[in-house]
Amino acid sequence: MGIKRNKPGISTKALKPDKLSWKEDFRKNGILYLLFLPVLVWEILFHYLPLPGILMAFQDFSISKGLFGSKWVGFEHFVELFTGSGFPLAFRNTVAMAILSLTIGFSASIIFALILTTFPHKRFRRLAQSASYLPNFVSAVVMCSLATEFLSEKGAITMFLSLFGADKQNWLANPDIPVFWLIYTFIGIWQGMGWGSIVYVASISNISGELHEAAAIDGANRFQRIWHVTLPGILPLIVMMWTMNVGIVLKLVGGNILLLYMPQTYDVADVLSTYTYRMSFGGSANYGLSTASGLFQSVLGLILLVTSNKLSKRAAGYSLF
Amino acid sequence: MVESSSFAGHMANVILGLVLLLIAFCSIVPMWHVLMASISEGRDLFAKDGLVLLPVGGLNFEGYKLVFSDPSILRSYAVTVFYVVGTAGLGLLLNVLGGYVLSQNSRLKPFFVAMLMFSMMFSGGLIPSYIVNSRLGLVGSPLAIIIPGCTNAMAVIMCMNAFLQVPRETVEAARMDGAGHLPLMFQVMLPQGKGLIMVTVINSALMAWNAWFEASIYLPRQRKWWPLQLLIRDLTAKNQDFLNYANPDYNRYLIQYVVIVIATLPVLLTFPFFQKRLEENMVVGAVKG
Amino acid sequence: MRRESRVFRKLITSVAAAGCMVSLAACGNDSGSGDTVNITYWSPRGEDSSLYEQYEDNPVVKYIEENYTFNDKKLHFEFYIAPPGSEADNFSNLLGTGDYCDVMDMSMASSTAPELYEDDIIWDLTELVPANMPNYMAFLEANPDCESSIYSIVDGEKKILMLRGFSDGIQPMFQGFCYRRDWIAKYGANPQTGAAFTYGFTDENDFESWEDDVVFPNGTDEPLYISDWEWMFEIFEKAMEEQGISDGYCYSPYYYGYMQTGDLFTGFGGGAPYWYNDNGTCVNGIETDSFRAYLQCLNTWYQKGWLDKSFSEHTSDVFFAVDAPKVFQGKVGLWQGRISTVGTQIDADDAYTDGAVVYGCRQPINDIYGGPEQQNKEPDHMYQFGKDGNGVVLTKKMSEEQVVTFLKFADFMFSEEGTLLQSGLSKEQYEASQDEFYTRLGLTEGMYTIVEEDGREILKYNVDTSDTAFNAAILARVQPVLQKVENVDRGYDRYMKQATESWDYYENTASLSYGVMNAVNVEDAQTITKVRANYDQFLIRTVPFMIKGSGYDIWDDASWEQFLGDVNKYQAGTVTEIYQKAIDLMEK
Repeated sequence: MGIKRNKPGISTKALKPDKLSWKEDFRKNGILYLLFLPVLVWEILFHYLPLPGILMAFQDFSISKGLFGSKWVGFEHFVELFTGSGFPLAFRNTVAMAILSLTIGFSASIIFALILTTFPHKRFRRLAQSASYLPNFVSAVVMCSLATEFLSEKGAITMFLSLFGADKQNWLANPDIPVFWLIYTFIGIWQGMGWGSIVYVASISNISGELHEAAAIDGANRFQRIWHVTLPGILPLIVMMWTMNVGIVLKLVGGNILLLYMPQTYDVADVLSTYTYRMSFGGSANYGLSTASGLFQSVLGLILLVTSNKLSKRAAGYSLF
Repeated sequence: MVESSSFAGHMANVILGLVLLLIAFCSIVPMWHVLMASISEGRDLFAKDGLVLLPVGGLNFEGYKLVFSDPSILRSYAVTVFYVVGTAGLGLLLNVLGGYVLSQNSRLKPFFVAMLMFSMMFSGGLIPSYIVNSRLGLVGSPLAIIIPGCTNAMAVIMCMNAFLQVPRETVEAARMDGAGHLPLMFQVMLPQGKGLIMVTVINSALMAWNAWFEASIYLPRQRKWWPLQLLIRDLTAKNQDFLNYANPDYNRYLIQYVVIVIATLPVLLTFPFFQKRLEENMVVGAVKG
Repeated sequence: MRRESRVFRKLITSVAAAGCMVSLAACGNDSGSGDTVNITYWSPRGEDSSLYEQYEDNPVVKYIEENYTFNDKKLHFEFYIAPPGSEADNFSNLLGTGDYCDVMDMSMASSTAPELYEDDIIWDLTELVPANMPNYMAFLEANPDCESSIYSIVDGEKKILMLRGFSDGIQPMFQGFCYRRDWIAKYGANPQTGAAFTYGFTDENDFESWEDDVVFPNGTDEPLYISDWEWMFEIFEKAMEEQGISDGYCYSPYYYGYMQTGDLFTGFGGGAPYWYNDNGTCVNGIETDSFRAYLQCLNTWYQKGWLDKSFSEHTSDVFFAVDAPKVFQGKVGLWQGRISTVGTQIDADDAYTDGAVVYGCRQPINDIYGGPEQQNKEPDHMYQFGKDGNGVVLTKKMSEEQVVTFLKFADFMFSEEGTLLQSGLSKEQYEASQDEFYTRLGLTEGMYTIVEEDGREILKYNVDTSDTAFNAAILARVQPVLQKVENVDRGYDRYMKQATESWDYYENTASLSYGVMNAVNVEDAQTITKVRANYDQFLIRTVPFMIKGSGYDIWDDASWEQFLGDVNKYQAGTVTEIYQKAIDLMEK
């Protein structure tokens, strides 16, 4: 498996295919490589050729002088980024919201998919699923203005929470940890859960029905079947999605924040992307700084990706690469 | 025992049903708000804060009239469908090829996977990409919308995963019968991994449907090749400052809602088709009888 | 399986078909032949596509192309309009990749004209402009306040690198302070005599017939001072109380608590909470006692409950639409509003807007807070269009012949004939050209009529100037042109006239001119960006709290000193020095 199954007790090496020499490999897999050629060409053209753009992070990039004519400034932009007054808080907030989105946010889609697939009434299930992906199409501006409304002093959610003893307040203006982080996470779930569940629904539907029936005959109830049949069945997918999400989560955090934060919540709401945005486009555009920040997030993402891949290999026995 | 378990099962279904109902409700609210806002009276809507449950100030379709007074809107539907089909089709081809190759063991495979993952994390940015596309002669051509954005690392890897889910025995059996790579890929493995591959198709189709930025960069002058989303952005942007003028036409305020409706409706209508395909071999948790 | 492969085949065919289409580069480069000169023109904005799709279809452009020759050549324009939302990206891309047009509008530029000149991308027009543009030069001579904005400074040398459009007067502003005149009349009383005001519409059917005898504490019928505002606020409070409005307020400042353009602040001794030009000296408004007096004023208002108490939470509002729904619900007394709120326009016959009459008012002059230096000074820095329009640069893609032809065209647009043509086609011009767009929109009487009024020639528009079609019928997106705004009748009703006159009563004379901005060298411009990145953050995070009475105590001298010290920690002084250097260069 490309999602490698690393059974406990069996050494990893034993599972790896016998190493062929390059020559043998090419003779055996030559056609395979030929088939990969279109993807390879596409990758090189549209991802790798533009990649030297990263060098802007080390330049005072001037649009007219171009990538190779601009002045080199070494790590100046990184120093500027890290020493900026808002950096420590922005970094903390990014990490916090990334963690929430990888835990609560990530599992919401899976749980929803499980609920959907175990629910017996086909028509109702379809309706619920169709409804659930609607928020994915409503623009962020509308979603955020509705959220703002619901969370305001007289908003529906504020009223509901006050039943449990919470103060009536504008929740979005609340600078306490972790109010904003949770709000942000739940808006993300609201927007993305339905659409995100499609991939799991598809994968669950690929699990052969016989397994379920066998389990049912063994007397397993619904939850046991989910636990013993469905979840193991989609575990490789979950691991894959999780690992990839870990890699890009830092870049994804921050999409709606410009629409939701305000001066009094900057300390809890500012994230790397909003921070960089304000840092680099105050006056004339500072391409160097924004590229440096992007590069920093990419490198961090890469480290996280490799780490989480290792972790999932150890914990679940699956890994992406 | 059978009694109690079916009773428990029933209760569970009721609870799950309520949860689904709640989720569905929360999901419909924003869209309902947009739909109702789009058929409200502009002036009344402007003074309203909060959720719109029914058209404010009476039914009014002037917003739709304003949007469709632009003849290019209808044409852009066709253009967008062309992009969606092109992107999803080309993407499917690349994803299946890539996914299949990566599902087979070979010495270059780890390198390929690493290369894909790397490209997912790092990108050169807009200007270098523009230069590359310009050298390739894509600037000013609708192909600039289709080719560079047709797939991504995640989709290829998802396809790889789909192929890996195909039972080994099936593949080996087909190999024994002397099936080459192409028949193996298209005739044996593809039908079995259909679910996930369908998801990649849906994803890239949706991405193409929502895309506007590429067109704005690569087709600035080719207005007749603008996709719907870019056109409606243009429309919204040009109507945003209507209040800067005396005697404003408040129906212009509705445009931002109308465009969401007209851009979502086609998706809404086609999704059930995909849903059916996705559910074809879905197992329902409850056991019959 | 078979079905899928058929789908594939279809796909591949359609993709291949698309591939056969000719690919066009962004800005074509055909300089024209024979007696026609082609010019490609990049602009960040076009017209609504329901009016016409390409800017080539602009009636004025067509008219000029058909009826005039410049330098004995016919002119043919090809327009490249940036798609919305990515104008700046579009500009950067074209420059970064060499795909730029002959003429580039600079209003969305990420590079300055001197930068482009140093990179050999644009023409140095220092000699060509005076040689080919007599009308342009004559206009600048007659308007010395405009002259400095056409120059850029490269290595200490004044150069003309950009062609800038102008208007022959201050373009009427579309926004400013607005207040509920009807509330004052209804709930207020004469500050001298204590008598109630008389007010009302003299003619039920004429919305322009509002009459009242409102007198403000300053003795006139207009609010001019901060003390007038406070008097109004007390009346607004009473009005809201009597009508049972519980979620209204008197005034809502922009959500940082101040606007960099200086509105409201400027009445506290002049300038803006930004860098401004105080008669040749660059001043950072934040560091002045004016800012302190301003904050003390707002803090007082906040304590008294006159300010929108959640003013710092309206993050998504644009600056001149602070919490617009409340205004349109009729729950606000005074606001920074657009011309669309003036007069009886917000009256929607509902509970709080019924009978609403809104007047515009001037920037108020402080007469209460701070010391004598902060009081009774005329405002001189606010959001105002002024006379300067956008600028364009001519790129090296143009041959000298093209440049000269374009300059002659531009000069024509500064002649009387050209200026009139910028305002659209007259009846005669329409009848001669039978323009398709004018016919379609029924503009068969032409855009304007020239009428005599008090011995002056007034250009009276025949059409609704607030309609989107108006901009499409005139030449609104091409620069440089001289736009006619003096002696123009835009068909405004009396409230709009009153409002625009109040908004444009004071002139913005203290802001840093385009000339000063263009005299900042490339390195210094980057320093400014870097300093401001942190400095602005500091202010945004502090000022709202100061107004609300937490953080630095603006009433306490030691605390204020500490604030000034912290401002300096962010090196605001460096920016002051850079701008001072630029001002000195320009004045030389």
